[in-house]
Order: sequence, then C-alpha cells, then structure tokens
Amino acid sequence: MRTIQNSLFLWRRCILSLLLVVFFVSIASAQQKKVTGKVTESSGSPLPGVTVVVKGSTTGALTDMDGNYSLSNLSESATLQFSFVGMKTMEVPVSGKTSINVVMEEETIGIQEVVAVGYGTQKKKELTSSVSSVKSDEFVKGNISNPVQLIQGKVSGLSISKPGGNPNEGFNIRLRGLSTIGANTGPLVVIDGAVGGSLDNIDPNDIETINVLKDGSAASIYGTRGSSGVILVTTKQGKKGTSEIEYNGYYSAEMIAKHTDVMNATEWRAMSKETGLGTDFGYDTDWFKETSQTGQSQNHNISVSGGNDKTTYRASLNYRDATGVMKTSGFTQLNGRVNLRQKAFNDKLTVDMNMGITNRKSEYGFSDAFKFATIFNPTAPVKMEGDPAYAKWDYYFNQTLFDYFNPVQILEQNKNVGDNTMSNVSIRGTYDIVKGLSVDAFYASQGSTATTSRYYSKKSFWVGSNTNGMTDKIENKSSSQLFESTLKYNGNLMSDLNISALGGYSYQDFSNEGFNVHGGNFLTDAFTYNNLGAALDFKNGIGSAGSYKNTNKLIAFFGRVNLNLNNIWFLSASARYEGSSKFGTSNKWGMFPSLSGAADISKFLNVDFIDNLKVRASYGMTGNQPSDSYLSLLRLGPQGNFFYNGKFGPAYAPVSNANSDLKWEKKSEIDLGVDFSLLKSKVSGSFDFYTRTTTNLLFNYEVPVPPNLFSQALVNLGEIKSSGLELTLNWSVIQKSDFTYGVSFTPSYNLENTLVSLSGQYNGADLKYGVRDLENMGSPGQNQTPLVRAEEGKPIGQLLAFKFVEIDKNGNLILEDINGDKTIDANDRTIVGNGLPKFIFGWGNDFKYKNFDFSVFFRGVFGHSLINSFRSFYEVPNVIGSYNLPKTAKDMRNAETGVLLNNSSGTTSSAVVEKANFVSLDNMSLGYSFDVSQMKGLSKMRVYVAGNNLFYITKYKGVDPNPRYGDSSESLSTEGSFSANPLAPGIDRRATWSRTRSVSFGINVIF
Amino acid sequence: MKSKERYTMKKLLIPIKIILLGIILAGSNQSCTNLDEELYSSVTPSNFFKTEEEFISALGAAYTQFGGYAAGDPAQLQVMTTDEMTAPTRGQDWDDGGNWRRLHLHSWTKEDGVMSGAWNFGFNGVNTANRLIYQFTSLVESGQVKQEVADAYISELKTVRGFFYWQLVDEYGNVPLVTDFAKAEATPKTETRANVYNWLITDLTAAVPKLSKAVDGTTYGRLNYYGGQTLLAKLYLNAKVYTGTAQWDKTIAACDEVINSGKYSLESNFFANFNVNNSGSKEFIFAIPYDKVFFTGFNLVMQTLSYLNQATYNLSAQPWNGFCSLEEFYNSFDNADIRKGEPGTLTKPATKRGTFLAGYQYSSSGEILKDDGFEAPNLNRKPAPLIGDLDGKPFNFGSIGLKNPDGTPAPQINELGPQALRQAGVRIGKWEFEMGGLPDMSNDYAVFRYADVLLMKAEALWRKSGNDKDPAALALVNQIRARAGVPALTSLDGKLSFDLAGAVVPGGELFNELGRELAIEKSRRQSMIRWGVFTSVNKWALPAYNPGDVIVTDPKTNLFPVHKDKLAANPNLTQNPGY
Repeated sequence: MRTIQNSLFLWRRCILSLLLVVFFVSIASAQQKKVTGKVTESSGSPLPGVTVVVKGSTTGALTDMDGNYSLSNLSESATLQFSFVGMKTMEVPVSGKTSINVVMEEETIGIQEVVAVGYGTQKKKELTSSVSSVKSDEFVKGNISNPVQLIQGKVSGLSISKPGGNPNEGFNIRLRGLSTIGANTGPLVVIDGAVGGSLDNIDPNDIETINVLKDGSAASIYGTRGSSGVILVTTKQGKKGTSEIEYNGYYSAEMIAKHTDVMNATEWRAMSKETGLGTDFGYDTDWFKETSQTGQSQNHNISVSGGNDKTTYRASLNYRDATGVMKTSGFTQLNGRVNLRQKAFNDKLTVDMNMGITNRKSEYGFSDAFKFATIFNPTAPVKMEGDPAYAKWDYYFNQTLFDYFNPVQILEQNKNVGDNTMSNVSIRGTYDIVKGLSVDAFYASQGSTATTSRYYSKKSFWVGSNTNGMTDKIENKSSSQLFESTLKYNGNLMSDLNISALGGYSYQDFSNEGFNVHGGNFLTDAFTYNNLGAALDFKNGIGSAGSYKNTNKLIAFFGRVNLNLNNIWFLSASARYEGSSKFGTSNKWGMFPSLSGAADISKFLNVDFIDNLKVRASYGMTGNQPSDSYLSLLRLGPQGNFFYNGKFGPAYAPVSNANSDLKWEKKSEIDLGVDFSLLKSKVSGSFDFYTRTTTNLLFNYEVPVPPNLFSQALVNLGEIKSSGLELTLNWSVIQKSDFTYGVSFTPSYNLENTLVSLSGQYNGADLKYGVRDLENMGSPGQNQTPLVRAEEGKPIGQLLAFKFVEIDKNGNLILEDINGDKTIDANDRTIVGNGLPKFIFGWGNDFKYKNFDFSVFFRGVFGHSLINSFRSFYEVPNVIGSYNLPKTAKDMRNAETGVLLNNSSGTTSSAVVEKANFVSLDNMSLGYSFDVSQMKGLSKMRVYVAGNNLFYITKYKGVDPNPRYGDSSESLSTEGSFSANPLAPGIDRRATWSRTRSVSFGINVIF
Repeated sequence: MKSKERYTMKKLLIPIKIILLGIILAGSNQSCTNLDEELYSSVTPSNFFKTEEEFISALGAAYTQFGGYAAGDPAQLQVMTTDEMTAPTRGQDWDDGGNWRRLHLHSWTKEDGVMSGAWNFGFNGVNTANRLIYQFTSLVESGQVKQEVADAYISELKTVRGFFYWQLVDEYGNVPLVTDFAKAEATPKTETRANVYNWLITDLTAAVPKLSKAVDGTTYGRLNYYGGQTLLAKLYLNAKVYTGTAQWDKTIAACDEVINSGKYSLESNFFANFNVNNSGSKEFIFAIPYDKVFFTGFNLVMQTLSYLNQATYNLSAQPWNGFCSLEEFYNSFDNADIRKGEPGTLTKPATKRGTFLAGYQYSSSGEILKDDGFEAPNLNRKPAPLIGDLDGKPFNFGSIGLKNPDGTPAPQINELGPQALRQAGVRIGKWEFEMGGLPDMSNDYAVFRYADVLLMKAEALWRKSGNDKDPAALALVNQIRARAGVPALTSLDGKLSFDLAGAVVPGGELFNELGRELAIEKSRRQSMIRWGVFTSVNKWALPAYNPGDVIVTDPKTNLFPVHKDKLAANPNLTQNPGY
C-alpha cells in the first residue's frame, strides 16, 4: 500500500508542475480589449447594481444607476457573466464585440428548478409533497469517504450519524423518526433509477444531486420499500458540446479528538495508594498513544466527460487510500464509473448505459483495542522483552484478569481484513412515440461480494488463546436484477391544464448466498487465513463451516397522475400495487396509494415581497417487508444433535411457524407544508408538519407452544406513531459583486415517537407486549441489567436505571427506593432519560470574497441522553485492582468525609445516564479559485483547506455524543447497524471508537 | 406496403422490442407475477420425512432439549439455592443485578430471568414431546408408519415428557397440564401439584413398561425401561412433598426394578462417572451425552474455574471465576474421603482429584499461579479478614490452610458480596476438565446414576421403618461409603452438615451422605425439602453487604414463582402462594 501511495504522490507533483507551465504560457498569450454596455429588465427599465464579471476571474464591475457598465483589459476569448439577485445569470462571449447590451430575465431561483422524483422529474414549483434536493455545490466538503456525508445536516429531518472514527463503519441514516421496528430502518436508495442500490458503490465525486423523498406521498411510488424515506442519487453526466477533464484530489490527516479520559500512571498510583488495591508495574504507558496513529487519507478522482448532439459520456476513476486512527486500520478503494448516453432515430430514442464498479480492501483493526486501551493499567509495560514468563505471548505484557487484554498485542498479532466488490450495470432505452408520449425500458443488475478474513495468532492472549491460531473466513454475496418499463405522457388537456401521467411495471429479484468457516490449530502462523485446510480443527472435527442461500422477488404495477391548473393549483395521485414473495400465500400483494395537492397562493396575495407561497397537503401510504425470506413458511432445520445407536446424528425440529397471513407493514403519513420564496428569492425555504402511523408492524414475537410448533413467529401487529416539524431556510444575506454571504438553516423537531401498541392476535392467541425491559449492560458483573424500557403507549427509547442519590459518609452508594419497599431491587429502576433526540439542526454559512470562498457548517442535536457504559463499569474506585479508571472515578466519594465509594462494583444509575446535547463544527472550508481566464486550456482551478468534525460543544463525558439509534450490544463485528435493535436507542457501548477530527488539503482542476 | 406505413410500423416496433427485450432479460422462465418462494438452504415438511433417518432426526429433537439441564437455568434452581454452591459477587464480577445473591439468599422474585428460563426448559421439553407424539400419531393414521414401530417411539416420548413434567412439578408445583398437541388450549389453566403428579404416575406407569430393556449403545443417552423406573422412583420418593402422601413401598419397588435387573453396578472408581471419557459407565441409567462439538451446553468449566486456570488446563477460553462451594459443605467430607480430593499446597499441586478444587493452583507446566489482580480484603469488613496470603499473589481457592488474625481458619468465602475475594470458595472439580478443552465439556452427565438408586432405596427403607439402624438401609449406604474409602455408618441419624452447632436430626447422616455422593448432581434441594430444612437458609447463608440483600426463610420458597412474563402471557395461570 505504501509504495502505491508514494508513487501517487510523485505523480501528483508532476501534475502540479505541468499546471504551472500552462499558467505562464497562458499569461504570455493574453490580449487587451475594452467593452461597454447597458443592462435592462425585460420591461426595458435599466438595472443598476448588476454584477458583470469576466468568467473565471475576479475582474468585474457593477452597473451604475442607468444600468451602464464598462470593462477594460479583456482578452478576445473572455466571456462576460451578468448576475443579479432574482434574475437568471447570463453569459455572453466577447468575441470581437466592443458593446454588449443585455436584457435580463426574471427568475425565482429554485422554483424553476427541476428535481428528481420517483420515476421521473418534476419542476420544483409543481411539487405537492416534501422533497429535499441537495446539489453538488451545496455538498459538505473536506474529508468525505461516504456519499451520505455529503448531505449530513443539509436535509431537515434526515439524521446521519456515526459515533466514533472507525473508517470502515457505516452511517446510521434515519428519516423523520422511527417508522418500523422489525424491518429496515434506513431509507431506500435509488441510484440513477436502480432501486435498492448501495451508496457504497458510488464515489462522492461522481454525484450530481441527492434528493430525499421525505413524506409518504413522495415515497409511495416506491410503495413497499419507501417507509423509511427514499434517497435518489443522480450521478454526473457528460454535457453536450463540451470536452472536459477534471481532477479532484485531497490529502487528509485525521487525529483523535477525544478518547475516554482515563488516569495516567501518576493519577493511577495515587488512586491505587488510596484504595490499597492494584499492582504498580513501574512503567508509564499511554495506551492510546500505543494503539493509535494519525490517520492519513488521499483521494484522487479523474473524470473525462463531454459529448456532441448524439452522444454524451462521462467516465471517472476514483482512488482512495485511508489509514484510520487505530493502528492497522484503514482501506484502499478503487472505483470506476462510466455513464454513456446515445441518441438515435432522429433523437427519438435515447439509450443510457451506466456502469459502476468498486473494490474496497479494508483493514478493520479491532474495536476491542480501544476498549482495552481505556482500561489497561497505565503502569504496565507494552512488552516484557526477554522475560521467559511472557515468551508464550511473544513477550507482550498480560495479566490474567477477566476481560482484560493487552491492546497493542491485539492489534499487532491478529488480522482482520475485508475485501468488498460491488458492481452495477444498467441500460435504459427511452423512446418518444409522439410528442409528449414516451416509453422506456430499464434493466439493472447489481451485485456485491464481501469477504471478511480474520486470523488470531498462536501467541494471542485474547480470542484464540490456547487454540494454536484461529481463523474465520466469511463470504456474503448478493445480487439483484431489476426490470422496469414505464409509459409516460405529458401534455395540455386544455390551454391552462397540464397533465403528466405515467404507468409502469417493475420486476426485481434478489439472491443472497454465502459461507463461513471457523477453525484453528495451526502448526505455524504463516498461513494466517489463507490455508484453511491446514487447520487441524477440521481434521479433529471441531472446526465449523456453514453456508446459506435465499432468494426473493418483488413485482409491482404503478402509476401516477400530476395535474397543473394555471400554474396555481397542483394535484398529484399515485398508486403502487406490489407483491413480495416473502409474504404468506394469502397476503402477497398490497396497494399503496397517495394523494397530494398544492396551491400557489402568492398569485392571490399580490404582496410585493412574496415571490412564491405554496401550501401543500399530502397523504401517502408506504410499506415495509421483512428482511429475511421464508418467514411465512413452516420450516425444519437442524437443531442440535442426538445420540442414537452409539453415535451422534442431527436432530431436526421446526425453526419457524407457518403464517399464511404474513403481510406488508403499512405506514400512512400526512404532511402539511408551505414552500416559500421571498424578496426576489433572497429568502426561500419550506416548512413541514408530518404525522405518520405504522400499523401491522412486523415483529418477531414469542408465541405459545402449543398451539404453535416453534416458539417464535414473525407476526403483523401493533402500531407506532411519530410526528414532527421541519424547516428549511435559505437566505442570501449579502449579494455584492465581490462579497456574498448566504445562510442555510435546517432545524427539525420531533413531536412524538410512540410505541402505541405491540399487541395483537396470532393463531388464536392474544399476544400482549405490555412493558418489556430490553438489552443488557453485560460482563463483568452487569448481566441481567436491562437498560431500555419498551412500553406500549409510551415514547420509544426510555432509558432505565436506578436513581442515584448520593455516596453516603461511609462510602455506600445510595440509590432511590422508588417503590418505597425499603429494599433496592430490580423494581426500583426507573425512567431517567430518552435515547432519541428531539431537536436537530444544521446551520451553514457560505461566504465568497473575490476569489476566496469560505464556509462554516454547524450541526446541533438535542434532547437525547446516552448511557455511558465506560462510566457504568469503571467509574468505581475499587475496580482499580483489575482495570484503569476514568479520571472522574476519583470524585466518587462522599464530599464531606472523603470516603470513597466502596459498596458498589458497577451499577447503571442515573449518574451515568447523561444528557448528550451537542453543537458541533462539522465542517469548515476555505477555498481559493485561481483566475484562469488567462490560462489556456484551463477552465477551473481551486485549492482548498477543509476541516471536519473540528469540535463539539457538549457536556457529555463520553467520547462521542452523537445519538445511538439502535443497540447491537458488544461484538467483534465492525458493521451491522441493520441488526441493531431500534427499540433500544441511547446506549454508548464500549466498542465505540475514539472520536476524530480531520484536516484536508485539496485541489480541483478542470481542463 | 407503402414506405410511409412501413416507417410507422417500424416506429412502433421499436418500443415493443424494448419491452420484449426487457421481459426476456427479467427471466424467461418466470411468469411476471409469480411470487412463489424457492428454498435452497432450509426444508419444509413437504420435502422432509421421506426416509427413516429423517424420522429419527425428528425424535432427536426431544433429546436436544436436555442440553440445558446440567449447567443451565434448571441447574441454578436446584444447586445454587442450596449449601452446595453459590456465586459470590467478586468486585466487578458476578453482580448481575443481584440475581446470584438472591438465589443464595432465597430472596428470588418473579422478575428473575432464571424463573422464566427453567419454566421454558420444562415446557419446551413437554411441548416438543407432545408435538412429536402428535406427528408420529398422524403418521400412523395416514399409514406412513406402522403402529408397532410408532408405539415404541411414542412410549419413549411420553417418558421424556414425564421427565420434563417432573422438573416442573418439582420446581413450580402447580403448573398447567398440556398433554395433547392438537387439542392444546392457547391459555391453559394451572393444575394443582397433586393433580399433575397423579396424571404423571398414570401416564408413566402405562408408558414405561413398553420401553426397551436393552442397556447398550442402542439406548445410551436415551430413556430406557430402567430410566423410566428411576424417574418413577424419584417421583415416589418425593410424593409426600408433592401430594402429602408418602409412597415408600412404591419407591422401593421401582428401585428394585433397576437393582434386581443386574444390569447396573457401582464403578469401582467413583470418578469413572465424571471423567471426560465416562461414556458407558456401569452406573449410568440415563446420561446426557454431552460433547464439546455435537452436544454442547455443559460449561461448568467456564462457570467455576478462575481466569488463571486457563493456564492450568490450556483452555481455549478464559473461565469466569464464578461458582464455588461453601465451607460447611466442603468440611462435611472427611479428609480420607476419596470423593473430597486434596488441596494444592504452596509446594505442589493437588495430587488427587476430588469433588472440589481447593488450595493453591498451578499451571499445566507446574508453576504456581499468581494473581496480579489480587485484591486485599477490606479491613472494615466483618468477619475479620484473613492474613498470611503471602504477598497476596499465589492463588489459593478457598484460602485453604490460611488463618485469620485471631488464629481461626480463614474463611473460604469472606462474604457474598460485593467484595468477595477473587479466590473465595473452593471450586467444583467433580467432572474432569479436559486439557486444551473448549468452553463446552465432553463429559457425559449422569441424570440417573445407580448410586442414586441405592441411596433412594436406603432412604425409603429407613423412612418406612423409622429405624436409624435399619440394617438394609445401612447396608446400602455403606456400600457407597466403602467405595469412598470411609468407615461404615452405624446410625443414619446425625447433625446436619450445615448446622453442626444444632441438634442430632433423624436421618442426618443419611442426609449428609446424600450430599457427599450426589454433590452438584441436582438432588440437594430435593433432599433439603424432604428433610424440611430448605427454609433454614439462614443457617448456611453468607453475609452480604449489598443494599437490599435479605435472607428469606418463608415456606413459600419451597416452590419457585411463576415468572411475570408467563403470567402476563397467560391470564389463566395462578401464581404460587406468597409471590
């Protein structure tokens, strides 16, 4: 990896030198010229204050009171750019002229904009539902490795969260609160029409726009998978009549911004002395220093694009190389994409071909390394070189304590790598039959293969101890094929009534298969995970292997009609009738309708400063299906073994119940909204109120046996409800020729998120959920300590703990006796917070001064609490004999007598359930665009420096105050937010990586 | 055709072709609205039950239920609640919401997960047996299986069901009676303990005679005729507790069915029953054939050993330093008793394996194990702390041989928690720990053992005659003692091992002998209840310092509570009195 990195650095240096040469040559060839002219409105009246600049430079002027301007020292090849708030920007090439007069057209920025909606596009002014659109120039800048980071904080109501700085961990995306608890909680992703795409197979540099279909009516055209919202990604296309080569590159350094603040050797010794516990080994080790590094990443993106009347194309190649802040972590990724468009048959036929392929090779590191760096004795050495007692561990220092392992040893001895390849190819043919009527057919194939390989050394004292080496190899493959065909019509029924309609058919099948192998006992560490046959475990019959395959299908018919009367009244109706193979025989199909309308009341108001004021109301229904296939069938599977006639044979038993009634989860959503544009579009935005109810929730319920054959069944029952408010506000505060300042503000407020009911009927039995306490703090010593209470009729995410009262004079932990029965037991746990945030905002500030651009983006999340696991386990003075403590442990004493806490070995009390409100400086960037008007062959050159996650303002004592939307307890796995339990948010587990901040330097050049 | 028309045709053909192409791409063999599911790696009844092996594999499901018996929730209810074993809270470890301490102190509640777990263990077994009986019956009715073939399976399944119902009737007493899968109610009501007992006896006395009398590989790991008789003997032995009416003659008769068959005998080496390779012990009447790979669930090695012992047995995983035995129980074994074992000393590891793992611990290469994490006892605690643990590091289970400052022997377990010492308590070493072992052990676990049958008969004889010198009873007990290398008893009366300061109790020595022979084999709680001393928990309970810890000596504790979730799921259930 390093060699590649070095050669790429060299290569980039060459490019820079080349650019400088081009720059000087261009200056030498420049010519001189003067141009004057007048700018008027369409009414003929002059426009003062219009910005006239030479494109690609800082040379410019403002028109005077009579609309006149004058510019000198222009080159023949210059192009003049005229811009004014509320008007369309115009460009006129000088090409020999000495006088250029311009008539500017009015524009309500954003309103004419065309946005992608499901199966087509729509003018923004005609939208009747809640859709947010983010274009590439509004994307978050800097160290961006995943496309969702581009819109983090930019879309009101869309929360994108990843606690800790693990470069290989995915983001948790949640739109408008929780809409399901048994199916997929993340939005559906559609990339260039390919439904169910993976954001990981697309490089952020290749994205043109990201649209988010937020409400039920917008999403319902994707009916069955739209319940958690839909993200539409449009990739960049080549433009007619151009030929461009673009290079984007950055180098980024990532540092640990915060790790758990634990005692250093001096503090540890003081505490050890006071408690009389613990062994001082005489060293002074900073375990975070030993396990972490400065993460470095570089990213290079080259694209070529262009086209003529018949053909447009864009091809790009992206290379990323990143090392994480944990030693041995990082990835290299290569991604290629080709988008091709060809017209034929008198431009009636358009064929689009898109191809993308991504390969990522990851080194995951081990989350446990940071966990153990937090709790490892700071007086212990990393290694005991030469001490024979430690030879069996390759001289790494270890102590035999419960759940306590040398973090450096973990990282240096063992390997944990992944290799993921994703691909998609698609072809679309669109044929214009007659004007306004077109038909298209679309085929897309997507695939992914993910391999994870782990090896634990023979000398490992952790996983794999005494197993003579241990390996895991896991491969998961998935593929899907999509075929869709739509017929579209757009035309005027009467002079002022426009109709656009579409109808379509969709077929998609999915296949998943994989295998896993686990075994150990190697003669040598040399093979690692590459020679499974060498593991003696397989010969001894204690290695294990497994494989699986499943498939499923979705078939749908869908249609939509949009009416536009007079550009004032808008109406839209859509329906999708969809079937899934995953459901019971009597309930395969479901209908998902929507109806929405809007009126532009500015036409009636006639208020000067209101350009546009549209009120909208919508209703839409969407669905959700289970994540697994075959859940409606009675299946038998191997359930352990059975000793029969002197040998073991497999025992088969039911593993699922038949449920022929299994059907779609249904979410209905009402959205009331206002879109506005004021003061010639200086201020624009929208406001939404939504309320959504999900019924027939898919939930894996414990059912009685008998009458059922198996003790669990996937059942449709229950209801959850959420509602909230969202605002999007864009304000061009200052618009001057050499200085602009714009603000965007996207707050959202969650009014409720309620588990209305999780009870119902199944196979003759009344299933009653009532109150359930979920999750578990875990070992050591806190098993059977539930942390979250799920309760019908109550908000989702109630955090459960004892109420901390005080540490009394004798050092006893005093907890509140909630039920007054004079004993403290499980019944005294009570609700002490909620894990889900109430209020989220994004606040962006964009400045432009001459050739400089500067942006600052803040994000705030409020109202959620987190259970701080590290404090719960280790903020206990008397565990110093086994573990290092957080610095705050020294305060765990009676204030008066100074006696340390001594009757607790770790308790989850309200003291460790903390409010985690925060405001973060997510992104700050400063860019400079060179004046390229004098440089031949160069149409843009910008250099920038950007910072990401620069600081957090929060009182939360843990590492990262970002919300935890679901709990997946603690495991070795580095990914897997899908299996996380959405009913149990708010638990900050010990597996969380340290929080990081990064600084990047980048360049963007277009030839 | 005119050229213009041809052009129009061509124009229309293109979109049609696109659609056709798409449909072909979508899969030529698929109907465009077909949503049937195709299965690859799982089976449904429609493609199963085709061969004899597949039938037998279905029967196997009844036996896989036993996996949780030896070390799971039922074991915690039967063992943890007595003086045989406890799990003190050792600093950070083993607090777990106080549930281990509650088991020790008899202050368990209907919220405790173990109450749900043991209930599930019982009813999952019952329901699986019911389901399989129903399946086999249906197969006979449909003519797929012959009546006489099915009969043997059905009788065996009824005996398996009887076993699980015995567990339920013993632990919870009053439980719903579900005997027919097809006619099962969704919310069955609670039956009285006596009714469940009576049904059980009727059902078992009909089924057991039809079981195989073979004692060989064909019945190993399964309930045969003698397993059925031992199950009946267990029920009769405890009949007075379950119903109020004693059944000593029936106990003796059921035991005699086993003893007089001549098919079982005592192993000369007591530990032959507990070694890793103990399959086919002549004492096993019904054993669970645990295996580290094929039949997992017996993880005592994890539960009882210290982290440090990973080096003693080169284990692949780090043990949990939890379960240990109490001082009085350890001391109830004579030092000469070969069942007790010898403690390790500062100079050499233990030379004789025993029921207990005590004293200093060594690595597999013979080095003494030192505990870097040793925590000196808190000087503010009572009883007085032990001293003399050298520099605190050599690891000594139970602090064997050490003294308190006042010269009294060091406590084996200084307190129940939260600051029990890491080395507190002697550990359970009865089942051999395999060198290089996995978390799941391969030792088979005797559910019914011949020695147990001999002792059951002895107890029934003594209780019937009321004579503490009953020669027949003494002969049986002394058979057991002879093997253990300890002198014969002359009277069955004596002081109870956990109450040596108390009075001589009728059958006290028999009680102690039952404890020694069947230690950790899930018979202690039943013995304590038969002797009426299970509620004397205050006599053996350790001091606890956690707020909220209380000792409960209420007679209600002879039964466990029905877990709250079970009550919530079935409104027809009745909670046991006092909970």
